[in-house]
Order: sequence, then structure tokens, then C-alpha cells
Amino acid sequence: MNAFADAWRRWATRPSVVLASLLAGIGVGLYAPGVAAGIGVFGNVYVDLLKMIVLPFMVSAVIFSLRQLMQEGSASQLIGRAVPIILLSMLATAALGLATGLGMTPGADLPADTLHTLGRLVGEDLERSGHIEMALSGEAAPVEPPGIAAMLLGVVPGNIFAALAQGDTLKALVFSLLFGLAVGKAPASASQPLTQTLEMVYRACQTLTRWFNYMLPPVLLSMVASQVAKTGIEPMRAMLHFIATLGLASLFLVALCLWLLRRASGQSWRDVLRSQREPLTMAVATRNSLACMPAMIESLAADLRFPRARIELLVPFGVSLLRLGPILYYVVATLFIAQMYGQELAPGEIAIVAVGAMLAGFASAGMSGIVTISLTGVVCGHIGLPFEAVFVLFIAIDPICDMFRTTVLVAGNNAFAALACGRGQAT
Amino acid sequence: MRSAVHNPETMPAAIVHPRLVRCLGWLVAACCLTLLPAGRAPAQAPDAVPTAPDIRRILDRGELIVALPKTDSPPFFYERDGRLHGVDVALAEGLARELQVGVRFHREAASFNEVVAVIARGQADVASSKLSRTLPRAQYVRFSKPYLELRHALALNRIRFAEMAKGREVPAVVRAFTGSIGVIANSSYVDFARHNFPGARIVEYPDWTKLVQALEQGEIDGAYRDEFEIRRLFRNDPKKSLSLRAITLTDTRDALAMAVHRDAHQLLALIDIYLDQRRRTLSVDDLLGHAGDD
Repeated sequence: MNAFADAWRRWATRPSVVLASLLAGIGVGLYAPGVAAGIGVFGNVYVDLLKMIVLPFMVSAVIFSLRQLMQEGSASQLIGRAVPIILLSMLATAALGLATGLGMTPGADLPADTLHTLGRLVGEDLERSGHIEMALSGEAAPVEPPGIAAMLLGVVPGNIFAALAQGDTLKALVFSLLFGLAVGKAPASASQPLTQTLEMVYRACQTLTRWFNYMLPPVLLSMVASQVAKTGIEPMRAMLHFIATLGLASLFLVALCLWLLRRASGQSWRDVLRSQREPLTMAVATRNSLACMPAMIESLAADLRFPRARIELLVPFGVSLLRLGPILYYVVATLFIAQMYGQELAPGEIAIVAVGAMLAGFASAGMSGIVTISLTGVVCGHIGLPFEAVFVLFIAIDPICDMFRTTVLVAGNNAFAALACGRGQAT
Repeated sequence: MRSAVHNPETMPAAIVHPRLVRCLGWLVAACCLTLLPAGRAPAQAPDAVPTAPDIRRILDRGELIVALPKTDSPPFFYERDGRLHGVDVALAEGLARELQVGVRFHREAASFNEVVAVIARGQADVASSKLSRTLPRAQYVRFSKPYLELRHALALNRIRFAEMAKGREVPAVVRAFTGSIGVIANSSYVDFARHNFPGARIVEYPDWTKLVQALEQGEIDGAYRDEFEIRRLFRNDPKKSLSLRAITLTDTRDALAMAVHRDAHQLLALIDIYLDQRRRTLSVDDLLGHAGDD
């Protein structure tokens, strides 16, 4: 039974099976949108099942691993190595986004009929595209500036149970980190029962994820089909330049991450690729990086043999804070808008785009979907670019872009965790 | 002493020239003809009841003279196949029907303000021409009750506006607008713009097409007109949504009303009742769906 299950699981994440499911999903979405809308529910159930595990998994993994690292005395050393890697990888991602966006110029010289289609798509959604109604008299409602204070308030849980009940992963992470540090300070004899319980929770969550992933190919098919049916081919065709640029940049970044993983693990390409199949397929299917965490940890700790305790801490930490996918997206999207409106960006403005995208990436922690895209507006606002019209177009094609963002985030964080936990310490 | 010529009874029949008799006959006939229209007065206003002079003038003339600007403004007034159509045209024709007279359109005014001048000079009886009721105009003519109330709206150039806003909230930037706003010259929006956007630079354009062109090319930051025209701009060319955005100002009113001469009190009262009695009130959606709007 186990042998069959393992064989099925390996089959389910084979590149050919993933690709076939993807193509079948696109086909069903295009040619049988009614069926696609109907089977979309399977995908949603699957993502909900995975999300169900996220909080217990993350809390137990972080507390469990931090206690262990504290007792080993390597926690501070780990943080010391992680911070420069985070900053460097964010800078590298922004630079790659700039290079691709400026090199491929996805928004420049769009054909007239493309512009016409884009205009019509924007015109169909008057509310989101910035056509508003307002009173000329009266004071504007005070808007809280998004400062450091607001950000701190956003990550510190006033009530941990409320944060857990609302599924606020960022607050849960902050609690787990602090709680794990405190547990690590306690004598081993006192913390042992809690650690064992957490380990049990953690393992149960891993097992659940493994079970759910047996359904990956049909889930991938149903999710892609429902997304394609919802989006329709027209917005995708009109935004093809943008999708292609973002896709190429993402592909390059994922390849770079795989290469880094190979260097850090010292394993062969074959082993690295095989280990990353499951987390990357899940990223494409679920478009939810948190849901991929169990598979990410498993791929690094079990398959590539990185030290488990460190990986268990670094992966939740990275997924929450190191938002490479959104950063890449913000850079390419802002450049696209500038090019579409024929705005030449000065070197200073390009630097603002990069820094703005990195900050927006941080701010996007704990966000998903449309809210994530709307942060592009903040980057655009810094250099005086109009965002609202294109927002409608970005929303239309987001199922695809979200797929790129999540894949980059998952691959990037696996590479980050591998680099930060150091070489030669495999257990 | 009376002149013999003026007293035919004293003259011998032989010396009265037949040509003179014929002339006198024509004269009598002409006099009768000039008195005839009084006999054609509507049944509701019999001769026994005195008619107000402003109404009498129209009845005597047998036609209502309606002032419209030279240029078409569909769906309010526009020419198709040599005939005038539109919401304002239909209103004027309905009014003439109530008065049981014909209708003649006076289309010489180059602008909306010029239409007001035509009425003030008494060259036309009524203006039914998408005319906004404004205080400066009310100094010269009398306005009826509004037959359509539109809110004001701005079409903003997205790029120019984003440069101006720099990430600030839209309402705050619009309320303290410091950029340039384009309006149609000699239209009510010149006054509205000065009043509502005191910090803005007001630029006047001869017509709407040139104004929209200037907006798209970024010569100005916004175009100011009623919500119908702004919505129509995006409806007729959805592509414009990419470069322009619409802001409708909910607490503003552009009241469209008919205008009459300052002395035409009776006509004004009649028009108010006429407008009140219409079964349906107009809405922006009705106008956007009007056949003349393309």
C-alpha cells in the first residue's frame, strides 16, 4: 500500500504529469467554461484543506525548531546569516526585474488594437479603474500614513487567539518566534513535554499535507480550468507582453534558485530537481505560499538533507518576510505602466521603483490576491504614475501572475533557507 | 375744413377714378387681413378674455421662435437629414403644440451665452438648448424650473493627475485643485470652474472636441463639464478609459432650464406648468440611450 502510495505521489509531481494537467486545465477552461466553473470547487476545497494545516504547522514548527536551536546555541548565528541574505536576495530580485522590464519593454509601443482592447476592459470596470464619485465640499477622511508604527502594530498580536482565529499568519509567526525563544530559555526537562506535543502536531500536519497531495494532478487541472474560464482569453492576449516578461523573469529567478540549491546542497541537478517538484507544483496549483510550507520543508530536510531544525525555522520566517515574488512583480508592473503611458524614467526614478518595490514586498507579507497587486499603486504613487486603469487589467490576468509570484516565492525561499542554514551541517 | 380727396361722399361719382376705387378696395382688404389672426386665437383663450402681451405676441405671429446654438449638441439638439431632432427640440415643439402655433428655430448663436443674449434682445421667444441656469445669466433673462439636473464632472488626464497627486488621495487633490482645467468658452462651466476650483488655471476652448484633444495631449490636467457629457465621452470611446478618468462631483448641480425674455412673465408661468405636466422626468441613462447619441 505504502509502495503504491509513494509511486503515485512521485507520478503526481512528475513534470510531464504537471504539464499535462496544466494544458488540460487550459483546454477545459477555454473550450468548456461551464464545466471549468463547476470543477473549480475541487481546487478551492483542496486549498482550504491545505490552509487548514498552515497555522498549527507553522506555530509548532517555529516553536519546536527555535527551542532546539536555542539549546544548541546557534539561533543568533542563524539570524546573523539570514539577514544579509534576505537583503541581498531582495536587491538581486529587484535588479533582475529592472533588467527584464527595461530590456523587454513590455509596455512600449503596444499595437492600436491591443490598446483598444485594454481600454475597453478598463472601461467595463468603472469603479475599480478610478472613475469615482465624490463630494466637492467637505474634508477628506484622514488617511493613516503607512509608517513604521502602523507596520509594528500590524505584526504584534494584541491577542494571539484572535490572530489565530483570523488566520493572521504574520502575527502568529511573531508570537511563535517570541514564544520559541522563551521556551528555549527554559530548562530542557521543563520544556520536553511541550516539545514532544508540538513535534506530534508538526508530524501530523506533514502527514496530512502528504495525503492531500495525492490529489495534485486533478486539482491542478480544475484550478487552472476555472481560472482560465473566469479570466477569458482576451485579457491574456492583450496583456501578453507583460505576462511574457514577468514569466521570463520568474523562470530565470527560479532557475537561479535551483542552481543555488544545487551549490548549497552539493547534490546533483537530478536530485535537486526531483526534490523541488512537489513544492513547485503546489505553488502553481495553489498560488498560496503558506500552503506550500510543509512540502518546502520536506524537500529541503528530507530530500536534500539540510538540518531540519534550521529549515523548520527559516522556511516559515522566509515565506512570511522574504517576498521575492511580489517584489519582482512590483518592479515589472511599474515599468510596464511607465512604458504604456510613454513615461521615460530617470535613473533616480528607477532606483525609487526598486526601493519602493522592496518596501511594498515587505508590506505584502500576509496579503494575497488583489490586495497584493494594489500595492503596485504605492510604488507608482512615488514616481507619479497612474495606476488605477491598469489595476483592472492586472486583476484580470492575476491568476497567471499569482502563479509566477508564488513559484518565485517558494523557489526563492527554498534557496534562502538552504543558503542561510549553511553547508555541511546535514543531519 | 375737410379735403375733397378725403371725403368721397362730397365728390360727384363721375370724377371718382376707377383705379382709385380698386386701390381703396385693396387697402380695406389688407386692413381686414391684419386683423384676421385675432380671429384664429385658440378656443381656450377667447377674445373676450384679455391675453397677456407676451403670449399674444406669439399667437399673433403664429409661431414660437426658439433659440438654439449654431453647433449641434446631440442628443439635446442636432440636425439629421435636414431636420432638427433632440430632447430640447422635442420640448420646444411640445410647447408650441400647447400654444397651437408653429415653431421656428433661430440658430445663429455661436455659444450658449450668445443664446442668452438672443433671448435678452427679444430675437427669440424661448431658449430650449441645454442651457444651464447660472446667476450671471439670470441677470439678463428669466429661467424656468429645471427640466433636467445633471451633476458636474471632471475628466482627468491620468498621467498629469498622478504627477500632481503623487500618491495623495483623489478627493483631497480634487478639492484643492491647482492644475489647469479646460472648459468650453462662454459656457456655464466657465463660471462654475471659477467658483468651484479657485486655485486652478481655467483654460477656455472653442468647442468640446478641441477641449478633449487638449486633455488627451496633456495640455491641460482636466476637462470640466456635466456628468452626461463626461460619461458619454467614455461610452463612445472606451479606449479613453486608459488615459482619462472621470470624477463625478456629487454635491454639484447643473440645472438645465428654458429661458425667456425678462418681461415674458406669462410665458414663463406657462412653461413651468408645461414642464410640470410632463409624465416622465429625464435621467442621464435616458440621454445616453437616446438615438441621437452616437
